[in-house]
Amino acid sequence: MERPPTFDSRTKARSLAFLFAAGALVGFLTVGFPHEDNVAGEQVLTVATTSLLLALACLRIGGRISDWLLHVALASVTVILSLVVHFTQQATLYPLIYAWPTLYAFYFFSTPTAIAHLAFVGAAYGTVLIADDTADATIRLVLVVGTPLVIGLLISRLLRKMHAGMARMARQERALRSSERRTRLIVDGARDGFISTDAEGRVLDVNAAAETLLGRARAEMLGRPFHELGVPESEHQRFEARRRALLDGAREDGERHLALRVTIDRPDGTRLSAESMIWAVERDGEWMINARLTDIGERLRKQEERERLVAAEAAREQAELATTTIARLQAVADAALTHHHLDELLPTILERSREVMDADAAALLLTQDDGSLSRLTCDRTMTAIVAERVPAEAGIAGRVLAGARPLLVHDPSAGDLADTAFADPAIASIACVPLLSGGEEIIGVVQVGCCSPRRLSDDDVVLLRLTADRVALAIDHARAFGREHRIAETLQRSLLPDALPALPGITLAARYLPAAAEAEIGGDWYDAITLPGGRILLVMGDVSGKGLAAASMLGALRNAIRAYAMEGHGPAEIAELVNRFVLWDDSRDHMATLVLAVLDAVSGELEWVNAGHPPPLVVGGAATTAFLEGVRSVPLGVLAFPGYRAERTAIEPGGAVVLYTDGLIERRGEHLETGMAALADAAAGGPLLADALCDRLLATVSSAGAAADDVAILALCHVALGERLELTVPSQPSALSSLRGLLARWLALWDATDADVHAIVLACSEACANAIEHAGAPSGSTIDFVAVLRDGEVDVTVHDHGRWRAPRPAGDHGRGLDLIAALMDDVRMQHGDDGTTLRLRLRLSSSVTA
Amino acid sequence: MSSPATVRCERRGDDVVASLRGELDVFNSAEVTAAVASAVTPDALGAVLDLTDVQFLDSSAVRGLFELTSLLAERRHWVRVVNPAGSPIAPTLELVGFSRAATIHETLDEALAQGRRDAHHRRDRANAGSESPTAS
Repeated sequence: MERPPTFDSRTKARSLAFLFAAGALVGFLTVGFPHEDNVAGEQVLTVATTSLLLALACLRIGGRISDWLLHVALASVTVILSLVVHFTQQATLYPLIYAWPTLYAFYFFSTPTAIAHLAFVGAAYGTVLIADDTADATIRLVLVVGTPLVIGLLISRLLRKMHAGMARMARQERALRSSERRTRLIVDGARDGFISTDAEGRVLDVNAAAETLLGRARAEMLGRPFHELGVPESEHQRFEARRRALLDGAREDGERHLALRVTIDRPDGTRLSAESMIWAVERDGEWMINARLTDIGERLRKQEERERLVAAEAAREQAELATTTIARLQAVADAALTHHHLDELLPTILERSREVMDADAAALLLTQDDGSLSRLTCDRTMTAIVAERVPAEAGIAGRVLAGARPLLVHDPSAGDLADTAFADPAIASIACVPLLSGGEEIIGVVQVGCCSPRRLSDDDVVLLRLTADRVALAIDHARAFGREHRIAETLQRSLLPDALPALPGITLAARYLPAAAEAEIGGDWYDAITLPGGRILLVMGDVSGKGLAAASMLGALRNAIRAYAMEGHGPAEIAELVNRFVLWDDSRDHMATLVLAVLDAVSGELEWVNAGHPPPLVVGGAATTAFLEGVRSVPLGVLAFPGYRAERTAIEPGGAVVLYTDGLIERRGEHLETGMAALADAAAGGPLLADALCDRLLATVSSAGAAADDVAILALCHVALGERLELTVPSQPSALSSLRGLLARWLALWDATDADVHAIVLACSEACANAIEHAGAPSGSTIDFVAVLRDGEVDVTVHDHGRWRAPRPAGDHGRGLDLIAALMDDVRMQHGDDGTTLRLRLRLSSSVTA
Repeated sequence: MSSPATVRCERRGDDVVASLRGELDVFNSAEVTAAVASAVTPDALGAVLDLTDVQFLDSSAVRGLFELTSLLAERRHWVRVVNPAGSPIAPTLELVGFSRAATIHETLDEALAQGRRDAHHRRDRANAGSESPTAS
């Protein structure tokens, strides 16, 4: 069942007012034109007036009237009608009058409510009929109730149908409206512009986006030909032709599409780039042209942006490639800075050249003094760096050398390829450029080879020339460095003693190991000076800094120490004096560490002073070791009055003292103590000669890796005093004194009497003096002296290496030999090819008495 | 302890005292004797060679001393030598018979005193009678 139509309360109230008014009208008409005489005119008038007032009230209340008031009002209508019927006594027509409220109820209310009102009407009319005692009451009642019931039902049914139809229409209307709104929203809200024109191209409609895109208001555009709306004039004809072609095609085949790109000049001077889709449609026999405009300006901009980015990226990659190449080129030049020696430099520079070219193989050929070439070849794996000598005329390199011009060879002949020594047979192109020293002199060539499919280009040759410039520069640099290094070495050597002094009873040895790959000489130096009285001064120092400044300070210190020592100053005094020397040198901020040690060759007594230097190492006769810690004072050049104090110790017979610089004990990542312990361990190997000791000490450094700093060692070994005394006596004035001292000391060990000591010492001194004076040995030669104690007898052998025997004045020589003969038990002289040997023997008197 | 040879010559009145120290050997004896010879100027009457502190003498030094004493004698200086009995070079001097060349005294004072006295006597004898013109 359909829902009853709903009316608003205003309509209901008006209708009710109309009902009352109609009732009032009937009442007034009845009074005015009475059809019967028995009409109770006054009552009817009252009722009609009431009805009229109610009608006015209904109008007055209007929309605010509620349903229950309506029901009350409708019931009032029924009551009023019933009163009118009663008062007029007219029962025949009035059943129709009752139909009004009933129909009203049926019209406005639901069917059950309307029937309820009808029942009330029936009850009211029934009451009137009973009160008036009317004939045919039943029929009248049926008429009064039945007629409105039938009509009311019909009305309500009709109403509902009508209402349902109206509601449907309203819905459709609403749906249509909202659909239109949506479409408009879509079209207007679209970013794309929509334009429809008629067949002649005049604008029929545009959307909001089209207004924006074209830069014109809708009203301005409507009715105008589209091509006038900004299409450039040059395009007009083409535009028209297209439009016609589209329409013609469309008329034949139905719908036609056309896509084209348009540019439109806006009135404000800007330009629109758009893509347009145009299609022709037929509507009601009329052809229209619709167009969709899409702004592709943004897209174009983005595309341009993208293209710009791509271009920028490409440029950046190009730049990066160039940077890499330049960096690699730089690496070639840098090689000269990190590798000072040509032998180390060449493999590095070759490999870097290959990297610059990204070649599969590379070779460096340098002209040698004898005109041949030395060749260094490498390949990508870097494993095969081959060095060899080749003739200068051979192959591509030979041609480049001869012509002094770069050469680019594709698909080299088998011979040429063999001459390059490139191992890879797939090498398909070879570039070769000369190396120009100082930009002029050809010192060799550099060549690279590439495997197919890559082929070296002219650009590659240009790059190879740039590389070659740097290679040549690096080689020049290294060669210059080599010269410089030799000069530095020469200077260094000149500052170190040529030869160490020799004294009987001691052996001296020194080592100087420059730090690897250092052009500048270090500040380490050592010296050993013979002092009067069989003493020797040992010097070990380290001037801060390197280079010429350090070297000159070093030289000055060295000479100052020598001079002060010759003047007879002790070690502490010398240290004080040279400290002032360093302090006064205002021009340079120098410091120096220094150890001075004076050793008495006979007694082994050592007087030493240490100015901030690593402590000297003393090796005892029983191979014990100790560092001379003592008082370690500040380095030279720190304090004005450092108060250096000398200390004394004694080197035992068979012992040694070692001076060194910090390079010997400093090792990367290790404590100084570790290096010192290693040094002590190496020195404790047992008594020996100074040379062997130096070698053993140096080995501790080389086993720990290349020394980072210069290493200087000065070792002095004192002769062992056993049953056999072996001395090497240099032909020097002071030598004989030491010999006598040592001999006396040795003899004292065996409790020899003063007379025996006197005899042996005098005899041996005479023998050695003779050997030195008369053997005719060249200066710097030595005499071997051996004294052995055997069964209470001292057996002395003095051997000189004289090759040329000068004729001796008999008297001179005679006195010495006579003296010896008088002192000794037995004297024998033997002349040989390698010199003269004098053998002396004396039985010790203490042994005789024992 | 060995030490280099040194010479110190000083004038004591009319005489010269030359004190030698250290070890005298083939390498320094010539210089030492030459130094003493030049120190004894012609106006000096006599010379004393003090060898007390000489530690060593070898044959060259001995020869040098012989030559020095004879040279001084030729110049008509009297010469005395000081060397105590227990000195290191006493055996050498004895061995070579150095006492033949010069009188050896225990101390410097003794040498000076005796030297002057003998010279005085000799001069007196020469002045008084000149009976022995070749006395030496």
